[in-house]
Amino acid sequence: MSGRTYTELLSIPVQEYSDSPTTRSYTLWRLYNEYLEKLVNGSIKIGGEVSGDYRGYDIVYSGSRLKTYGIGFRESQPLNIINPLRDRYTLLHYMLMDRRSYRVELSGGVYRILSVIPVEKRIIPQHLVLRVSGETSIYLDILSGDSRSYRSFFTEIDVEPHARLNLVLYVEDTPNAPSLIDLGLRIGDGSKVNMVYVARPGRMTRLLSTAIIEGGDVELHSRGIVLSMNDSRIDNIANYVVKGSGSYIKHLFTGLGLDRSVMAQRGLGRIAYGAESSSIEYYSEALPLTPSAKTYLQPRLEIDTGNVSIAKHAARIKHILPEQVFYMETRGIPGEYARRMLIRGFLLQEVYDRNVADRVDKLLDRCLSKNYY
Amino acid sequence: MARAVELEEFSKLEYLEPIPYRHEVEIRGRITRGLIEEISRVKKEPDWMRRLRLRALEYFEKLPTPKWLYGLESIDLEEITTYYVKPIEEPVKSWDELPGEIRSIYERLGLPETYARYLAGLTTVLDSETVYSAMKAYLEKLGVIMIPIEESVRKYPDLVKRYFSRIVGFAEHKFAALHYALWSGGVFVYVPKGVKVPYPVEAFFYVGRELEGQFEHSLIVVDEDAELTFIEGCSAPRFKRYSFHDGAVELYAHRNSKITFVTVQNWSRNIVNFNNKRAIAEEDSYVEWLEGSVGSKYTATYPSTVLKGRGSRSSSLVVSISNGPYIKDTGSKMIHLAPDTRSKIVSKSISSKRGVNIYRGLIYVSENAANARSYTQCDSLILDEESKAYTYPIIEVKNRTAEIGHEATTGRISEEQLFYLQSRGLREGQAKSIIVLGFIRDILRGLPLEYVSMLSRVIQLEFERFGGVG
Repeated sequence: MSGRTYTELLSIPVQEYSDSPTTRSYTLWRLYNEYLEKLVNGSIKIGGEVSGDYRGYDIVYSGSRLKTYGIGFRESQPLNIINPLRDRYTLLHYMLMDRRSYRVELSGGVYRILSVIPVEKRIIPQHLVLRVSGETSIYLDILSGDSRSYRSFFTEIDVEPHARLNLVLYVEDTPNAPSLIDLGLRIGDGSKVNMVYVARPGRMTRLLSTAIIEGGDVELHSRGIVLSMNDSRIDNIANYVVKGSGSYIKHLFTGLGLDRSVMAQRGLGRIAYGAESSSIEYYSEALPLTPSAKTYLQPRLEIDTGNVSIAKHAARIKHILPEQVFYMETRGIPGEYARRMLIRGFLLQEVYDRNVADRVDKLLDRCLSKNYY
Repeated sequence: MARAVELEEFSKLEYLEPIPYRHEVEIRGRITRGLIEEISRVKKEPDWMRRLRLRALEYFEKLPTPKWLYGLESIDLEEITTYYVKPIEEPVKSWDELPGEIRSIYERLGLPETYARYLAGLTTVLDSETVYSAMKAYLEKLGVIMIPIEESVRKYPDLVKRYFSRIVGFAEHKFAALHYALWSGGVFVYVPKGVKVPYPVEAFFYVGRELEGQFEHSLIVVDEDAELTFIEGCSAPRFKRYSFHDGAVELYAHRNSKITFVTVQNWSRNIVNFNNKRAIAEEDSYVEWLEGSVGSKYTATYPSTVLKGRGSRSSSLVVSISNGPYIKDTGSKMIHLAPDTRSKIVSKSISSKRGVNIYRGLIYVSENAANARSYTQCDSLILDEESKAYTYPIIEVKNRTAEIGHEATTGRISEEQLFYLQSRGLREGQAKSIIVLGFIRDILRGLPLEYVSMLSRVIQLEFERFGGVG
């Protein structure tokens, strides 16, 4: 990284094309390139701050500044759980952060974290390192409003052995700019992690999560929910790499596609050589409701050992069937309400957190305010 | 229950030593414009074909080597030195007309007997050229054409031009371009309107020497309301070095027709096998791919169907076995372009002894493909800890009425299953081969009976050899 210039970044690939002959780029890279070109020309500012009242949050990442309330933090080097050399914009992020990040230790309890960015057109790099132990819940809200800034938000979470982590990520992205939201988890021995991400994509949301299961006997339940509407576009990549023995990973994605939105959900479940008796299940389901909504699903498995307990993946394009609606109508439920219940049931499968359900409900109200039936 | 394999059968089916034979022409060297022109000249081709080859060469030079192919870097294609071998002057229609040493190659494989007993037509390609091509008399009366593809270029230029390189394009990727630059040998089959060919026809491809490239091309056109079952068999003796196979198969199913394309791939462990297979299915037609892939050092093949006509259907059933440090990169693609189209992919792979099986699949539903239905199932069985199984499915949907499903599982043989069979007196290897045959029963069910028996025997041998696997 050292010694590289922004101009050199333009010659680095935007994406690894190693996985398939037919893999296309679901990300509109030209939107990202516009910001990089401005950076090369020196015609855009890096960083900025937002003022506001953020009561109720314990940690607020406002533009490029971190504020905490009753919690200590320090500057430190990133953990590199997210590989800095992965592609052009990951490298750009690390260059912009100049090997710095904000590190917070969270040991037991419930924490609310907010990330916001300024409205004006800028490049906002944000890098947060969380070290988690004990029984901890984190609610991480990534909100953009109508910002025209390109946000590059990286969170690396180091889950200590035998920790219990409940992580809820909530993303409302801007319709005016692209964003890169990247979550990296490293999970130690005997830990249990329950992760839910809910996203309402913006103009171009690139939402990545990578979990590296280093320890044995780890349990990870990951649940992704995306509600995509208008002209929004999301490229959601969720990767899981199991290196420890006796671990169990389950990923379930449900996405709703409306209007002219484009939704790509893909990712890799990998059980590495030496990870004995581990299991992975990877499911992707999408419900396109309008004729122009586009959906791409690509769940992948790489099993490098024969000593595997369960390795499954499945992908489905779902429908609201007239029979389902009819059945509910015969029970006295009006058609419109029946359809909403079916969509809600689809999106909230295996969600047990009331806060998550409330947020999905609110987004659903906004999404279904037009007549999509 | 499958019976135990006898030692006699074992010796028959082992990959055999090459049989040297005298050839008419051999073209060696590096892939240059001069080499391509020389092949075209020797084959006495029309100018349009020569120009097509040269355009393909330009693409070959221009296109990058795919980076996504697992393990390709371990193969140095520069080592290939022979690009064209013509065994005899002209293909013959009787086994007796073949030179003795070439006839013995086919007798050893039992092909004359197979043709006499089961097949309606047979074309055999040895190295770069067709050496034998025959068809039962009743098919000729029905107007069926089955001739070496070189002959079809001369005899039916308009018909061939209409389809040749229109289904698999030479600009698609580097190895498709290489194929079109160097293609030689293969078969052209045309089934006229309303003709249902009652017995399968077969093309058999044999690579007879090491460090050689084979680039055969099969073009099969089935006209309206017609039906054909085509079997592609592949084999090679055991070499010290490897050889390279980069073939192409183009199928065109006209309205309301049916094509069943069966591949029994049993290349020896020295063959690097690339194959470009694609079908176009018109209205209400049905294309079925059935593939048993047992041999080869490295295989990359993805049979695909473009469902172009309303109500067209396609299925792809693939069983792929990688028993040893070999790589099988297989899968299927279904491109739904029209309304009410249906597709199904079933892939079963078995990896053992450091074998790698990769499934790559694509289901694409265009904006116009209303009510498309597709289902993919890919199951992998890993028999030991050193082996690997990867699945890379892609689903792209641009029409909300599509109903698409994909499911995949990776598992291993359970100790309970093995114990149960062993407690009934079977050896471990026999028990494993029975479990493997059960695992792929969906595929075996679709194959012609005689090929089920052959494939089952090959699989039994694979897992019986050296006292079993694992």
